[in-house]
Amino acid sequence: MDRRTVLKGLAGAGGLALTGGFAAPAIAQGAAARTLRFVPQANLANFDPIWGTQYVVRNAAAMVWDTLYGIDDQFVPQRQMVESEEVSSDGLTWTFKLRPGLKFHDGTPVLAKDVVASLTRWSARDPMGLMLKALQNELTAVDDKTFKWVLKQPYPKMLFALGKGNAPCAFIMPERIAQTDPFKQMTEYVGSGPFKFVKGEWVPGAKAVFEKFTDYVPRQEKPVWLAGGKQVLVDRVEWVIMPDPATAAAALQNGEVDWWENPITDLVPVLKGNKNIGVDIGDPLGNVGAFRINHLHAPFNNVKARQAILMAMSQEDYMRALVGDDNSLWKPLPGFFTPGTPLYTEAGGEILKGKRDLVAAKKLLEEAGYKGEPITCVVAQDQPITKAFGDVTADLLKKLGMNVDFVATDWGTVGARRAQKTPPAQGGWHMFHTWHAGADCINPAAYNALRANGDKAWFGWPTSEPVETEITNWFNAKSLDEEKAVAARINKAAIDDVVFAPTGFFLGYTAWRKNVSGVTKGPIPLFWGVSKTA
Amino acid sequence: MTATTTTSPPPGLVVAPRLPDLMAAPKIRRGTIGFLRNHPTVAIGGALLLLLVIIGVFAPFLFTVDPTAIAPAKRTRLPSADFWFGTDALGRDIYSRVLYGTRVSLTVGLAVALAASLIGLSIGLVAGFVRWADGVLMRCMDGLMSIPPILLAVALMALTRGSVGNVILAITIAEIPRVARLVRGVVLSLREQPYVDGAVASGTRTPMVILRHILPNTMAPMLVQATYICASAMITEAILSFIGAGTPPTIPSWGNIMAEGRALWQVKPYIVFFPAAFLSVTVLAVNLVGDGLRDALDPRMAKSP
Amino acid sequence: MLAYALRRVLSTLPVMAIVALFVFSLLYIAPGDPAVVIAGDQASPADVERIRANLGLDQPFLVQFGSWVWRLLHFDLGTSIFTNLPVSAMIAQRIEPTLSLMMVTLVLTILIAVPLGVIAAWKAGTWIDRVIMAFAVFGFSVPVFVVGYILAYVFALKFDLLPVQGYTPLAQGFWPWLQNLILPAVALGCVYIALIARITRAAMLEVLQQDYIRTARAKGLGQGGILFIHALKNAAVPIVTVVGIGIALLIGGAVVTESVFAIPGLGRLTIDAILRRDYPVIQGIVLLFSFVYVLVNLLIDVTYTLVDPRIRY
Repeated sequence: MDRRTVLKGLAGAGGLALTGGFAAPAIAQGAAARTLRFVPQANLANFDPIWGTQYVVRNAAAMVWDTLYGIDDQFVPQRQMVESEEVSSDGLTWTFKLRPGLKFHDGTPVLAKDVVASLTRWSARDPMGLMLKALQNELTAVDDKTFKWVLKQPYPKMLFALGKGNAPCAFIMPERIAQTDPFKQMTEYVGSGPFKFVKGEWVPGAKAVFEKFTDYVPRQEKPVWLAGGKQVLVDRVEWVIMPDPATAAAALQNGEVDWWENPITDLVPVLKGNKNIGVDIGDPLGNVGAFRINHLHAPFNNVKARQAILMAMSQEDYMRALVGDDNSLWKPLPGFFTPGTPLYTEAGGEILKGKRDLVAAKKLLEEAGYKGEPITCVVAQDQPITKAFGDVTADLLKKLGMNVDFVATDWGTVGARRAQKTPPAQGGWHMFHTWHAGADCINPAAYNALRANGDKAWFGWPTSEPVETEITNWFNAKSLDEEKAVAARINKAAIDDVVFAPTGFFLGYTAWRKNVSGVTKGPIPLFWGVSKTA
Repeated sequence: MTATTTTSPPPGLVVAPRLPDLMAAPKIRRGTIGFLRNHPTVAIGGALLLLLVIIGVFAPFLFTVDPTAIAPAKRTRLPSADFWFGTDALGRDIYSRVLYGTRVSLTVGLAVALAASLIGLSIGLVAGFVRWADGVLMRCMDGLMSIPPILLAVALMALTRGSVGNVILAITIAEIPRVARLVRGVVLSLREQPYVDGAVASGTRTPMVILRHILPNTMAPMLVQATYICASAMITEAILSFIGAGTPPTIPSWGNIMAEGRALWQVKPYIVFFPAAFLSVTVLAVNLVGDGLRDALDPRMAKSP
Repeated sequence: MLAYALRRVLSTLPVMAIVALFVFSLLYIAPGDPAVVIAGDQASPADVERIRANLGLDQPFLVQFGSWVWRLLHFDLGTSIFTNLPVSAMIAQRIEPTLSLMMVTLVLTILIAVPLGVIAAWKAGTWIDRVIMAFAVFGFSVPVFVVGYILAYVFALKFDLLPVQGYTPLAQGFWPWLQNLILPAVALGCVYIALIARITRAAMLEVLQQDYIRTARAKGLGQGGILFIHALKNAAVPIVTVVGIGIALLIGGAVVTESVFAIPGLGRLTIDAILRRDYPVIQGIVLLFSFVYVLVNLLIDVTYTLVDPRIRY
């Protein structure tokens, strides 16, 4: 045999292997203009919005599943799948009627029993759902279109719970799917929302495809956020996952994608300079940066040590490290609630304002009994936000004369390690960073991170009697003024006890090709009302 | 007969690539100076490396500032008289970071080359001399070799944390099999030689045989192999830091400077350019030394006209 | 020959068993926890615990390993913790892009590197030789992502000749497929081209000294004929070897290239799976990699016997 035969053999083997890999389905050709290519903030790795609650799963799920109510830009829940509701005068019995024409993607009509099963699964996982479940006498279907929820105590926030956009949302699924154990992943993705999920084309980590659901009947009202008529103007939406922001930017400039959810700030000037690209703030509610401190272990079990951090930290450093030079993208946040929303308050926030006082902070640390023990700071390097915060914190602790044990790792490890209550030297931790969507911080309802009920609280396990008392008061508040007064007291108490250290409030841009129109601001990317020309 | 139990190992899996001297070497000169004059690639590469070592060691005195001090108000400045290489997204001075980064790359390169050579040598010797251990050891080496080094390193990083030590450990583990196979191959071929055979037959104890006959002959190919390992370790460190699984951000390394600047390459290319240039020059220097040494030490080349 | 191949295939089983055990133990002691990644930031610790129990991650090591091996023996790689898709299906989705990238890189490398090496050997000692070899050493020294960024900037953004990112299946046509692969293949191939060019030059130099080449020359065969037919054939063994060694190099480089050019291949799947602690997927991929590696080595050994009749097994 000679060289040529060998080469031919090799080529043959390669060709064989290649044709073997042709399982990938062909994409509908000629529909380019009706296909919207979207680069999401993260990979859609799983698709059960009740089981997994990452933001990206929620955003995709909102295309496929509809909700009974949807909040508008004033945070008022508006009817979505529901035609009418009625609450008894004692506030205990809620009766809901579904609007006509609702259909699941498999062609079956949406019935009250589907809603009951969906709400049952949801209420096992959602914080507000769990409260409802605790108050529940019964949740039953009255007939095909009517269901009722009977409670032991009035629950004034009922409609907000059903319409909120915070994960997990109360999505409505067919009964057979909703009967899945809420702690197990479902395997079918059938909803009644404006888009169908094309499971066959789903390549986790690379692509997710949604097709227009032609039988969807939108409401007549104007669409505002999750409320109103969800008119779909494209045939397909393709989510293209791009791990490298530089590549995403180049792809948008080249017209290989149509819409990029979260361009990094430093590249925005380039995008703005391109006449074919439009740029605007994406989510007006932004994000709240969080620097979590473990309340269980020395020195931070002493409130003085935690206050020392607040006194020394510069929110401007954290924010600039993240969003760069664009001052319109961040705000100092001497509090915990989302700026620009009704409950926003700066009550008690003086310690975060003004010139940073390293000397006083060092003195507080000393009073707290800190003697140079190593401080374990776990930082996820694979998330740009936590990475930037970690770099600033390392610098801050160094300036404070603290001995930092900087654990650079990935989000998977931070997630596991932060659940450890053991001392930092034995696998526990002192501090980590994360962030909360502004939509989660508009009030205490979905704001787990603000809870301060010790062992049951979120990671860091803060204990603060005043914070907890006021949160209970908020759930029972009946007017906005009352809510505002409570929020101010929550804010002050949470800063005094340093439930966590807010690193600032930041916004992000979104960018799209100019042949796409109808991109609007919202707490999640909204695909209805978006159209594309060739 | 399987390949791993043949007395002569499958060709190529063992032998480092051979390359004749780039320059003609007409006269044989003696002494260190003479050696360098005979092998100018070694001289050039060595000089570059020496310069880099000096930069690494004396980084604090070469007009640098604290490489980790952030200054968000002075971020992404272009190279200028104040910031020779500009500043990064956190306002850190890239010139200082690059100079300090020299330490990481050189440490990783040398440590991996040293550790992988020593451990690989031991395993190779045992596999070459102890027949029953040969199969097990080489199977393990095959297994290790079949896991791409980058994946191994990412897994190890996830196992503990990002640190220079872990980067060294991960790359070393991945490189050991190559050295072990090389050494085993040399041992097996030497054992066939009459003088080694004779030594064994006359009752010389194994350690003596190894010391007298095997080690001296292993040194040359191992030295050459070590330089390549050193070069590839530095590249791997950069790639690991690049995908966020390498040196922690508190220690500046060329890899993580590039990783932090990667998203901005379109607008601030200098953030990636300077560390990349340093890395390339360093790897180039190590490769030059390696090529030169191979030409000098490879007995086969001595015969060629 | 066939018996030899069969024995070689059988002898790979223990290797793969070692790899499987090694990877499984590594993952078992790794601190990450897929349950917390799934549950998201709003979940309570109790929720996380229940998800973990449902995934069977609270079982002792031997039970987990045992059930994995048991399924493996039934040719079942398990189901991804996150996507709920079979691991084999996820791998199948990703094989084509990675394999395409490797094939194109390989072809490109051989097309560029072998002629370069041959010319360098033929013109040994001249400036042509030095330029080629200088390029080869340089190609070895530049990290793959830097090359990738430069290529993307020049060819995609500045001149708009090729797409920046993505992958088009071969089923949609040869040119669209190739278009997406050219830039990544050049970036990935840089190191490889340098390596193969050097090996080719060295092997050719040695062969060109042999008597039969002089004879061929005396018989009046043309320069090209001598170089590419007689000499190259005999220089093939070391070249083929290095092509094989390079496969491991390629797999490593593919991880980075696939993220820079957003190619939905196995490299990215692996990194994603590790970062998310999707254990079944990681195990499946590592097993596949080690299988491919072993297979390639086998192919190479077989190739030796074809290019060099002196080698027999």
